[in-house]
Amino acid sequence: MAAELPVTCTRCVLPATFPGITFDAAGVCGYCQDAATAGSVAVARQQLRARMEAVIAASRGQGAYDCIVAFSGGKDSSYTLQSLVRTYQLRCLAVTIDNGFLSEQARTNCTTVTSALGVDFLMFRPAPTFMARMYRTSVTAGGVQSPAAIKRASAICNSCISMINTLMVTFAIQHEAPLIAGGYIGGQVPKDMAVLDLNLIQQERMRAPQQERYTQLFGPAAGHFFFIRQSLLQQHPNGHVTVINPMLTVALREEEILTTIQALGWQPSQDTGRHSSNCRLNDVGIAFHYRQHGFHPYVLELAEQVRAGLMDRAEALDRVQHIPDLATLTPQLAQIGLRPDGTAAPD
Amino acid sequence: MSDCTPQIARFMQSQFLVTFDGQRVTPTTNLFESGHLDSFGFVELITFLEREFAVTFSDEDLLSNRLNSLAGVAAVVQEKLRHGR
Ligand SMILES: [Zn+2]
Repeated sequence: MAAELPVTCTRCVLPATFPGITFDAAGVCGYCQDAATAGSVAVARQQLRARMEAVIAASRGQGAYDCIVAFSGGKDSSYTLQSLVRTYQLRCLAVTIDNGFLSEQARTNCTTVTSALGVDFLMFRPAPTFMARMYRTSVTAGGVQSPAAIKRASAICNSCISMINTLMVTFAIQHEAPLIAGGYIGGQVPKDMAVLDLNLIQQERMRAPQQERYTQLFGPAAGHFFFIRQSLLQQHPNGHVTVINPMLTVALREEEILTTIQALGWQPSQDTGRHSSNCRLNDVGIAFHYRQHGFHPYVLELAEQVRAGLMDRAEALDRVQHIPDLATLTPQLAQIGLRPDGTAAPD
Repeated sequence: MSDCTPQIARFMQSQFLVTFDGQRVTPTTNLFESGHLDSFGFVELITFLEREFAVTFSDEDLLSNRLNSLAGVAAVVQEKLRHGR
């Protein structure tokens, strides 16, 4: 009989319920063991930054904008935007997707931060009926995303992220921008996404097999929110855009991020829960994810922050052990047509 | 030269939570069609292959439609190892 698994890795915060996790005799998880042999994180980060800076230098001045920035008004994308503008002097178009749950403070931050930085700003709001169906179905249908996607985020977040990624590529093509920037931090996405060359035709071929299913699940609008039309792809001069995530190339504690953006007039939202600085639906996603999978959807990201020395383990543990209560989230549930038990509410 | 398939299969099983059961999912199953691989997963796969086998992938490789199954990926890697690229 196998030894009993520890409840949580003794070094980071990954729990025994995390998919595919292994522990050694000392209760250290496979991720921590790999990290211990992976060489210097600081050196790897430095190399990623050098690669990113080379791509930035080569991308300047090609199109109407150098970079489309996926800008949520939250803390990480606000920090990212100021870094691209101030440190790298890129001509940016900040694009916010209003998912219907953007907090009022985040909306104000969008305007305040882009004004302070002198950046063009575009707000795009998909139809609330589409968004409600997308979020509702992501919870009720289950398994909309790949099985491994549950390691990264809740079903609600994964659908939203996937939609936003596609829309950013669409905006990049329309505005002839060679770069797309996001504010992902360590553990949210593969580290290589610090600089990632996207072959747009190959990207669309990868997604194409899912188009029919997405259209069935989310409705006809899924066709242009999750997939890029061939006619649009053909407009692109070379079929490539590069995604950069500058925050993956620096080691920053949350306090440093906040100090920098507060100087631009950014202020924290009070109604978005502990894990988001812009979205009032985030806690709904966390609660359903925990109920279904038995672990907090931010645990991979927080474990990475702990491993990198950017967050204290006690703080991370406290965050992943606090699961939002759906009973306090009824307005959000009503807006997407869900009951607290995760079933669709009658119209 | 040893076959790289088992190593790639282990990676896919642990990272993409795919089970090669020989029925629903086989080594020739298109993992994009089966829904196991998404664009984030593909980034992880390419990074893993480049690191583990010291190979690189061209646009031609990416557009060949061969990197969508265990057997296809293993065959491409094997060819690269044989030709030393
Ligand atoms: Zn660990």
